[in-house]
Amino acid sequence: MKNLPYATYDLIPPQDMIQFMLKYSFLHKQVTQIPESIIVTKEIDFDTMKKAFNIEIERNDCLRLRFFKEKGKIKQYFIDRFTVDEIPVLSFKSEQERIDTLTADAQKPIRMLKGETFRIKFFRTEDNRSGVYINVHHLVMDNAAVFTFFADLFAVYDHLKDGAKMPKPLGSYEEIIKKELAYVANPENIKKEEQAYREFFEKDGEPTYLGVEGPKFLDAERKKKKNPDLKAVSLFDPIHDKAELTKRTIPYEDSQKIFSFMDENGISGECLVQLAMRLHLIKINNRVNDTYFIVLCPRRHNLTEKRAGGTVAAPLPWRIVLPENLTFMEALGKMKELQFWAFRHMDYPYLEYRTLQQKMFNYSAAEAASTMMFSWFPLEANTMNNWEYEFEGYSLDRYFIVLYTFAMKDTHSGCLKISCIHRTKFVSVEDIENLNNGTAKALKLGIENPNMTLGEIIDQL
Amino acid sequence: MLEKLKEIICNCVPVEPEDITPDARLLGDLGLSSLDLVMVSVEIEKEFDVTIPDKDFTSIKTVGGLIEYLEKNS
Repeated sequence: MKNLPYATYDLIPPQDMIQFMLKYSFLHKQVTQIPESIIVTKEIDFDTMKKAFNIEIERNDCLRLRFFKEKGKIKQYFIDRFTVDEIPVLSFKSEQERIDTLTADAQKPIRMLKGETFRIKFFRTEDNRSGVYINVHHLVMDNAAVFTFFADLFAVYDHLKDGAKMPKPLGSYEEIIKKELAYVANPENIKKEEQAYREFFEKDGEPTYLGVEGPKFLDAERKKKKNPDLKAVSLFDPIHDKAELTKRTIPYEDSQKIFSFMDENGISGECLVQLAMRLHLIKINNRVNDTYFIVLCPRRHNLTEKRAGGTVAAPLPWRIVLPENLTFMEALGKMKELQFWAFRHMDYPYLEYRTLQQKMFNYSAAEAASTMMFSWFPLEANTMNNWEYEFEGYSLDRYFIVLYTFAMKDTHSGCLKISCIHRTKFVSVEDIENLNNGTAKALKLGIENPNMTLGEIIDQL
Repeated sequence: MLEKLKEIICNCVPVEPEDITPDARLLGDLGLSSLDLVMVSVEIEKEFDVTIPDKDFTSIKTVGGLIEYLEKNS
């Protein structure tokens, strides 16, 4: 695109990964979108909220990103300004109507190369609450950026409506892009991290696929390839990408015990929920204890970056062997060490370590030892400052990976909420129900008996 | 040392320097996430020319515990 009056940039590695994932679902481009809403009890004056949104466009440079293709590569640039004159205000008579309407929008692809990067809607719910919905392209925002966007938008609204102090300026995604591109342009950075990842994967040898559906795919692959020691599977299927979003809430009292345990012991939800999930997977996969998820890391290095928009998050390889003689508490300690290792090496691009694994373990492009992704959304009651809120995500109907689980404190109910987007060809609703039941049971057993061994917990699942 | 740690921590999370006391818990009171802890440890390593093994860092609970560790090891 010649003669643009703006600096243009290549995509950074987290954005490259988003584009790469389209290979796994190329007929349904909505898989690279994030459709989410915030619903609040306090009534919103939507005219003021529209003004706040137009101020947000100035404040939050990722909203001003545009994309184009040049010689087959997608590139990006930031425009100075634009305004949105009309924002639809919807009014729903029932929860189902609300979910159906917003889900329909969620599943409509954003025309990223035609200047559209997001769609925004305001709405009143069936029970007279107010909401803001955004469906944003994942090249423009990751989940951390969506939370930053909502929090800042509502803070700007408070300034306009009630004279509250204007929030501090947001960080710049353009500066993050420059930093990330400079990092990968230095081959020494990549070489150093490649060495660290090589040692990481060599430590326990080739990982073994543990399916949330149990061993059936691995067994079938072993039979097909006449190799009883095969450890990876090929679940590459860009056509059958139909996916369901299944949500499960842990009961309030159990959830409060979980959150207290996290607080008293300095354990993140990321480590705790994953450990419980992994114990279920070990149980249903013939007690093979080599567990591997890719875990999304927000990768924001400091406060300035946390207050910026954009896509910076990337999946990190959380592969860990969990011997059954470890206590639950000891296993959490190991998960924490793994977490620290992964965070220290979070700048090595996903596509680089994916290629490294393929070389190390002789995978074809379609094979993998993990087809599961996990995120912990660090939502708290004060994430939206003084606003009491409910956060909602909407089904994309399709997905690029077999299973993506995201867990959070649901600040509206005070419960632990676990949501799973799963490709229904490979993972059934029943498989997810079993996963959630196993996870809930492992959590309860573990936090009530932290000195119980993993083997003892698995016996009781 | 406390003053330097305050600077590093304030660069990671929105806390006031006066809230960063030796008794303050890193995760609980100061609201650092696990990622923040790693970022803090990376900055501490650069500032104090020390290497903190992840196994050690995961067991440090308070600012005071961190100061004690650094005094022993840097």
